[in-house]
Amino acid sequence: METGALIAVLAVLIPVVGGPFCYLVEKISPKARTAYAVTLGFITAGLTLSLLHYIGEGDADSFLWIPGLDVSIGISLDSLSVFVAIVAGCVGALALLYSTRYMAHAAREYSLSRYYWQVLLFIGGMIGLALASNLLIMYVFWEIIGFCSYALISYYYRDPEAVPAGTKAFIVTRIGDIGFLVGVLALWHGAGSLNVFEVIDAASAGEISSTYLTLAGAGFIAGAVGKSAQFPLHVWLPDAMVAPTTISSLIHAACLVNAGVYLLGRSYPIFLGLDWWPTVVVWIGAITALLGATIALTQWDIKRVLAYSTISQLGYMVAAIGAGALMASQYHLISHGVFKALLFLCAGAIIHQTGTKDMREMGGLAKGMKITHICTIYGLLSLVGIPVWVGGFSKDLILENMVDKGTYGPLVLLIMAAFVTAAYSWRMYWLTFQGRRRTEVVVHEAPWQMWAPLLVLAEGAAALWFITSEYTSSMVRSLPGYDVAHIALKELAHDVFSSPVIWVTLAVIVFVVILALKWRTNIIGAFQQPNRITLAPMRAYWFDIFYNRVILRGLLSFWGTFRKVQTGDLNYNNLGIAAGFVIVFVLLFVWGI
Amino acid sequence: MDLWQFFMAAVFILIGIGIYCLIARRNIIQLIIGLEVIAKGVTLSFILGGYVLNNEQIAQAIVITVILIEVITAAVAMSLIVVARRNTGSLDIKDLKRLWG
Repeated sequence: METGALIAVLAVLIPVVGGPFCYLVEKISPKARTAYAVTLGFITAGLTLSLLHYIGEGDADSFLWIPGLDVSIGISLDSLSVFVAIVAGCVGALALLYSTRYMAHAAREYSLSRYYWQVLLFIGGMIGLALASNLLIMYVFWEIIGFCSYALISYYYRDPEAVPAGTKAFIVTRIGDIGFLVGVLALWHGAGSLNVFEVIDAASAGEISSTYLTLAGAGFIAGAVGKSAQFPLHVWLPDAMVAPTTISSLIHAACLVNAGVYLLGRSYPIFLGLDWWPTVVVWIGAITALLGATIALTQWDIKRVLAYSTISQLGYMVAAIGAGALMASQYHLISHGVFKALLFLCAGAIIHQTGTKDMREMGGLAKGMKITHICTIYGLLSLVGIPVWVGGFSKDLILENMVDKGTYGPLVLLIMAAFVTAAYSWRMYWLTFQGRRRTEVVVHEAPWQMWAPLLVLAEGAAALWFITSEYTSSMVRSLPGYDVAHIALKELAHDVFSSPVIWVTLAVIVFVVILALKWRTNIIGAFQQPNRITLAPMRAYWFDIFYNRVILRGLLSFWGTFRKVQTGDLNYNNLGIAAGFVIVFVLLFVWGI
Repeated sequence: MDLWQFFMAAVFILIGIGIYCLIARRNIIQLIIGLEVIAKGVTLSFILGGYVLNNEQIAQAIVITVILIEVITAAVAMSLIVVARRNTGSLDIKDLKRLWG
């Protein structure tokens, strides 16, 4: 086996197989278990980083898995997959280090071994999803991370909100997953292969019939919409905030929501033949970006603000893919991974110190928590999109690409979303760190296990754009079938500072200054009571209410008519299974196998 | 009559016994045994399919997977039975009947 492929396999197997041994190591001592889990995390991060040397085109290696069916496990080490794996591995390792202190309080009531092995499985699953080039294997890893998100969101299972939130995340993403599975099967049938590169070749040669291609295109959009929390399936992500903050940072930055954007990016060349596909994707993204940003503006829970902000930023990435700016979207995915992990871990430090998630009970924390304060500013500046911080470059690249491609309708929505992003970022900053102290608790800086990851991520948020040239050149080198272009650092500066997009950035800066001057004094009063304009975003545009009252109630009343069938007696259920088996058997004989 | 037809009959007999066991028995451990008998029948049917279609490789791959899944099912079921026994003090499924509609 080639070295690169071997490293890739190890990067998946070490966290996935090593994770459950946490239970054994716990028998030695809980401390040893924690050290073991963090070590595994850092080994994985190191392995993913070392994959940088092996970036190359197509499949690095492939093994035949099921000989008769021609299902092989391919490992692709191109720039698209390796960077997603690196984000998962590195952010995951930092989150694990952070967990050592942040989760310590949970040890009395909940099993920390369960926490650590699930986090490791989560990281390994995401790396596997990124590095696999076989669609079926991708689907398997897709389900693994789905399970991990469900289990980790419900980690505090005695909390009455946690279990429904986990279930909701599972069910809502499941709707998308079914679409993804249908898409995979349609492509398998249409192209005769499961390898994504062979499918791309078949699609560009026009060998896939348009029915299968349409089915697969719709299915992949559904999968990405579910997993990446896009409109209209975004409702699970805010509720997932009952999870421990480290899990939120993993879900939002490293592991889960990136999967959908990555899938769209990976499968983008397959669906070039469908003329409706990019339009649908770009509008879904743009609507989500504005929707998420406006809701984020009205929230009081610091984690919910960040959750809606993630939804909005994912909207940018999806819109970029729809506009054909594949590279900009993947670049934003990486930069968002870094700064959103940073923001979540900062929020975790704040919650750890103040003991509340409600921003109304914070305020004036800047004096007590200097490191967290600086790191949050870095994260927020990156989120707002000020160039110099990496988020600025990636977001401007998306907007610039959309100006070039002439997709003006979605562009307007994205620019509006950029202003709202600035507003909620500033509001979050002011409510937590500045203004009058509204808490009795005396806050201190968090312990080093918590601020060290913050510093690393803050460095990343500030300086990651240095690698732009190498990143784009590796993309061009390893992705011949995709529409990517090399951008040197100089061109990046040119793209960002002398294109029309710079006016948006300048206007956003002016807007923040105006907000800082005008809104400072009465910020606590805004959004307390809904008025005519703010009612819709404060109620999250009634999505949950609609789903609960219309769809769920309809489904329940329909299936409720079958309640009598459910006797609770196992023998009856078995009889039903046997009867179903016989019916299927008879049908097979009647139709001829 | 060919050899494979005997095996086909064996498959049907095994699955039939298993299903009868699942429907008629009330002891959970007996239910698990019924489940295992069905799984044996299914395994045999895969071998048979490989033999008839002259595709032993894939049959072998699937049979190994099925055996693995069987073991996992049995292990998980046994652990659940232990918990159920501890909580209810009984192995009769009528005593575990809480999920009626």
